[in-house]
Amino acid sequence: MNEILPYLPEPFQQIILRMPEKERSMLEEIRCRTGRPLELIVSGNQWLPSDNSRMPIFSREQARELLQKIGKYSLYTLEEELKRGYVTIQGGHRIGLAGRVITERGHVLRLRDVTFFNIRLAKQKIGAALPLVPFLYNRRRWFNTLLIGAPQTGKTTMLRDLARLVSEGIAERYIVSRKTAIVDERSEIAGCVNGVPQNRLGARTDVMDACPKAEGMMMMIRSMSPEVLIVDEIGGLEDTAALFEALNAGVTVMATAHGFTFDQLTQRPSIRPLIDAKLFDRFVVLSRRSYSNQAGCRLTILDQLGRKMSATEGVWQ
Amino acid sequence: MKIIGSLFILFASTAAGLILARRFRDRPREIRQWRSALQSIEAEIIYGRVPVDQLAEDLSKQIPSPLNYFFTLLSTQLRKKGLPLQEAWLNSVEQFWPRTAMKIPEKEIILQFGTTLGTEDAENQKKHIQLALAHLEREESDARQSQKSNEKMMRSLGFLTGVLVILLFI
Repeated sequence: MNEILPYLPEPFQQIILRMPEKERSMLEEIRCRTGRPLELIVSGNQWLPSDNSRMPIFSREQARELLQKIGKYSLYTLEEELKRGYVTIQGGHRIGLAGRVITERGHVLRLRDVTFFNIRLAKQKIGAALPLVPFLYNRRRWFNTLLIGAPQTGKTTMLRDLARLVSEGIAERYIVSRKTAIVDERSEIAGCVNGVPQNRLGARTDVMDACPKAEGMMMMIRSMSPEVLIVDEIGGLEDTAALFEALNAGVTVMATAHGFTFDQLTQRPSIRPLIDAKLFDRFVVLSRRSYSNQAGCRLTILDQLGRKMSATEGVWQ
Repeated sequence: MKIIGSLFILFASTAAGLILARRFRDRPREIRQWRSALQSIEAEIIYGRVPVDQLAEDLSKQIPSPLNYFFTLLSTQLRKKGLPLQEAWLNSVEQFWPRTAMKIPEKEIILQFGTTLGTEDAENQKKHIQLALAHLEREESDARQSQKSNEKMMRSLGFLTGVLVILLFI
């Protein structure tokens, strides 16, 4: 939180500082839109001050200043980020950007007038993946695992914690630590700033930051000899080819994919061959549940053939 | 007594002449320093994409005096006080200016450059730097011209004024 505040305009800082402690700790997104009032998302819902006071309006001037601050007053350092549309800052928080796009021959060259900001607060949930461990670890090895879930169900959170568990090991369960490699195309798992991970990922993790997944996986396998390879949001055909390569090279793979159910996933042409070849040993389906206004998550674990093994539910926050 | 007094006058006027001459000598040298600083800024921006606060700190160590003082000022204003770049640049120029032999046109160029720094992508940044470099180059050749014509004159003028005053008093 303290990493974010200096970026925001003064009135916005005041609003956030005056929020009740409990709600502030559950703050997920800070959204700033030019000419519109500040929007705060607390556990999935818009939050408004209890005294019905108006939220301050985000002005054009403040938008320019925010962008300048994000780039440390050096806009040229943000070129790549303005093309991708998001910036990762100290602490692993992600700032999504939108505005007017300049194109060249139909491809995005970069954003010019950045007028919409979405600050997504990164919260690493240490221990989130612990309930999964008994299903994913057996006879001194981790299973090839695919995490399935819709957006915002906590796939990446889960994957990040799995990465941490794999590279740290769990001494009390006699699980030894493994060499872990993360291909982090969207800087979401490790939250790297200048190549240094901001999240706790254990001592034995290598990260290939902002690298296209398919190429990154091959680079990692060739150069870093990982025992477990971690990759977010597979989906393209090249990804599938690289995954075949990795899984056949004897590297354990843990990945995530968008989807609501296992059946839906089997319909996807790029993922189907992976399931047909039985390359993944376990599938974990995540779905979002709310328990009396608190965001929660339901985990369903499926085996190689997609048969249900167990289901657990847990409250996230 | 008379001799001591006249020596004093001679010494003072010669010193004044030398100081005036030095201003003419330092000006082109300092402009040259600025130009090389701008060139390293260009290289760092184009090839390294180094942010300005880092740049200022690096330059404060690399560049010879007196210009290193400017970048020390800039880097403390950015890092310690957390001022926006444009403001920090302006403040640093104002604080630094009494220490230089440079004149108003150079100051204008540098202030103008400061308003563009960090606000554009590398490609445009390069153009702004090139523009500032071209302006400074012109100023430098001006400064050399006036150095050539004035430096020696100032030095001898100082001494000769002293002699004249002494002769008048005697």
